[in-house]
Parts: sequence; C-alpha cells; structure tokens
Amino acid sequence: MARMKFLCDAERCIECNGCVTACKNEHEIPWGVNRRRVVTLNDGIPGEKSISVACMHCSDAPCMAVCPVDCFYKTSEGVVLHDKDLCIGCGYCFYACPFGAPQFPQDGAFGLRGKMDKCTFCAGGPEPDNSEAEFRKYGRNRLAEGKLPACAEMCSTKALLGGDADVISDIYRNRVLKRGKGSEIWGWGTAYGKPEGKPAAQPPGAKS
Amino acid sequence: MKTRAIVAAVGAGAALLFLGACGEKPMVYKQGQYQGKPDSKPWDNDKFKGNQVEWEKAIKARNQGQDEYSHNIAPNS
Repeated sequence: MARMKFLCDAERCIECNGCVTACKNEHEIPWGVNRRRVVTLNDGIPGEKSISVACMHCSDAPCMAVCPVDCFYKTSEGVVLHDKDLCIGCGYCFYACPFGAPQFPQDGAFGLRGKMDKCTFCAGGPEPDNSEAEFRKYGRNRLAEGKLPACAEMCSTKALLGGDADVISDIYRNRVLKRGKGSEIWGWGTAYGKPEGKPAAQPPGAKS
Repeated sequence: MKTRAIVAAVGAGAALLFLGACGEKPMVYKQGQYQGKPDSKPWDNDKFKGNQVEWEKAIKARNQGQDEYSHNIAPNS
C-alpha cells in the first residue's frame, strides 16, 4: 500500500504560489485560511530558498498525540485526517505542529475560533466520498477519484511532489543525480523520522 | 391455564430482553483512540467500485506523471 507524502524541492520552487491558489480553488477555502503556503528561507540573502508548506501527514503526528478529543485518525495510505464534528477548536494541534499546518477559521459574529482546518492530502474526511457534506467540511476528495493532491499536480516546475513515498523519492533522487546538487529535502526529517545528525547550518546573517 | 401461559411467555420475553443487554458493549471513552466516524477506503466508491488494484494503478500513473524525465504523461480527466 502506498504511503503518501509531500516533498518540496527547494532548488525548483520559484515562489509562484500556484500550489496555494490550486488548493484554495480546489477546496473553496474561506478567506483567512491557508492550508498551504509558500515560505522563503533567508529572504533577501543571496541563495534564498522557497518551499511550499502544508500538513506533511507525519509518520508520528504530534497533532494526533495532543488532541484532547482524539478527533484525528490516519488512513491506510498514511494520510492524517480529522473529524470536524468532534473538533472543539482548542488549538492544541496548532501548538504541537512543527509546520504550523492547523488553521482556524473565524466563526460567528464575534470572531470565535472555529473548528480546525488543514490539508487533507485531497482525501476528504469521514463523510461519504465526494458527498456534499464531505466537500463542505473537508473539500474535494481527489484521492477517491484516483488523483493526487491538486497542489502537487498543478506545480509548474514540479518542485512540489506528492504521492507514494517510494515513487516521489525515486523521482527526486534521479533529479539530484542529474543536476548534482540540492539533495536536502526540507521537512522530511521532522515529518517522517529525524535522522541522527547535526542541526541545519545557517548562513551568516540568516533571518528566517 | 391460558393466563398462566401468557404470563410465562411475557416473563420469558422479558428475561430475553434483559439478558440481551448483557451482550451490549459499553460506550466508554478510550484515551488515545480515534473517537469519530469511520472513513471509507478511497476505492470504495462509484468510480472504482471497491477495486483496490484499479485505484492503485490510477495513483501510480499520476505519480509517474510528476516525473518529467520518464516522459510518462498522466491521463487527463
């Protein structure tokens, strides 16, 4: 069975925000909620790098561990999803997530914090597949249509890869061999098992 | 005689009803376990009709479509 993962190639990302737009459009995400965003590291310093960040569907997801109502579950494909009917919008998952993935829409007249919303790997949620209820709560279920996440499939430079871990890591490995540089995959250590080693070196004057 | 039979039948029915409750599993919150609604598999729908192999084939084709070196274009739909 496929183990779904995201991989962002910082050598290729041109910060076009196409992935952000694709996600927003695909799931009709409300104003103020960003399931995916593009972050630029060392902005303004020569050699800056941009990466597309969303829920990484971690192997040992910290959001699942801290949720007081246990509304998270992991599918057999390794996608971390949650039941919005149970979510109380406490925000613990936001503090636990190393990627800042959980989002909280403002709800009601007084701007109350609504139920948590995050990337679903375009896999919907615990409602009947491709139903109106599923779309309203979680967005479109592309996985049930045999498709991969819209952000990865829309990426113009193929910097953002999404899908079966074995396949996308093979694609990335071939790229690195052909170009001869840029083998570091941002976020993989944090999300899918941190290898023992040194912390990432920061160039002088690094800001973010 | 008839009344006794009715009483016995009602008694037996009530006993069965009460004993049936013994088989019920208690609904207790279990720490660390998902409490929400169950989700279906991505191939359990009208498109794939439960055919996991077909779904995996579709996903594999899409996966390979991300590799511009292999010149393998994903089917459009």
